[in-house]
Amino acid sequence: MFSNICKHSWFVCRNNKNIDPTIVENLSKMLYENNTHAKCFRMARERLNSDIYVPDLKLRLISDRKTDGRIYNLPTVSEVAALIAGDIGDAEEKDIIIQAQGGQLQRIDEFHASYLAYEYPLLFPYGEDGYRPDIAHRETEEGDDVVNINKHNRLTIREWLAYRIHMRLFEAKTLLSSRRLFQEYLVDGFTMLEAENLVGLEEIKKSLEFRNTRILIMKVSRIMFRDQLKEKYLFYPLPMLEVTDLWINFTLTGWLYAAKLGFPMFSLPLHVILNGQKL
Amino acid sequence: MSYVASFVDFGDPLHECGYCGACFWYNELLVKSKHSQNPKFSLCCRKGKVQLPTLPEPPEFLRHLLFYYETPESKNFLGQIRTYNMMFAFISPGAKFDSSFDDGKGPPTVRIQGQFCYRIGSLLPKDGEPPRFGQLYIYDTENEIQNRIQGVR
Repeated sequence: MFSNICKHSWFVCRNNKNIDPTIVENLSKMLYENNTHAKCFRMARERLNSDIYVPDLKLRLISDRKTDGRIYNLPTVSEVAALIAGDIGDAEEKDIIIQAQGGQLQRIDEFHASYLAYEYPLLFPYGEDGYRPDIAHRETEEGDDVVNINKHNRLTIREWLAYRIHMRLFEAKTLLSSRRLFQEYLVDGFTMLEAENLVGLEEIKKSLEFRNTRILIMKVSRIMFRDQLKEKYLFYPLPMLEVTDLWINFTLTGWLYAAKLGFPMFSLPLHVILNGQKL
Repeated sequence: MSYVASFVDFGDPLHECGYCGACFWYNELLVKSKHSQNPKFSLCCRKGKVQLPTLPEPPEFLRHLLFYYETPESKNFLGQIRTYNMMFAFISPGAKFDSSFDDGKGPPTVRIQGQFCYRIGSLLPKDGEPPRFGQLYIYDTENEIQNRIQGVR
């Protein structure tokens, strides 16, 4: 029933009659001149086509940036990619290692710094950095240069998107003038936002893996009461958790429903938890 | 009774956020600053908390396509901007598609399962296959323009 396919053009109308080859040619020239990522790929091409044969050549797309994300967003070629021959050294988890030929399609992490620049070369013609999780808020006190980025002063993806899509008189209006591409970008941004929420849920799931039942009960009741106060309850997507965790998820959902419907159902999920842990 | 279509003109967004310079309409202001001289806004940068670099002006050719609507190439470009972007994208969207609903009845349906993601392949295409997305920057650069246009078909 489900087909795992990766089509390049699955939601764009397949019509290339109106495509103007001269525009394509000029855009291509423009990107090779300006776009950092296009330059990287050209560098890889030159190396692949050169006479000196290098076995096992790989391209590493680097996710971490050393610069301050509040001030700089135009990376250089050496910052975004590196050609590697042979073994991969200390690559970060988010970095993408591309083989020369063959191999599977690789997934790009939503929080890779160039995620949006890879997908929208016409919105970010210079290969500007997108959102990355290590940007702090503006300093409130002067002279406070050393920043410990924690969850209180970290920029969230929602804030990043909200800042980006506003019109400013002194800023280029590339994004806002791009019509349908801008709409596509907004939908994609929302997907990123949801992905960040999913990461949050993963953390809750990890904390649920504690053996200590007391902590488990505390966590669940906190979620439960918080939701009761806000008069809404979270929806925990089932497929996120593995089958082995199914009982935990089940009891959690049961508790949340109990919180919504009233406490008489309370005893049943508790019973399930105690049975599950074989106390 | 007949319904008369009308519209309300809010004018241009004349107010600027004091922290980041984003343009706003008056009614978007924070309620607390309703009667003050300088209305405050928090939709853009949470009262100055968010600080990000501005986007640079696009290169000459792209600026020509985006901002001079009258020219025929600009009309062509803006009408199909998503197709043009797709030709140059380095990565490709993918998801688990559920095709059981796509049986020709009713409007076209796209139904996916799980999380939507982007993927990237190898530097060179497999033998005998046409180059796609990022590979277009590397493979067979003499016919690059042709390959890009063929890729959307």
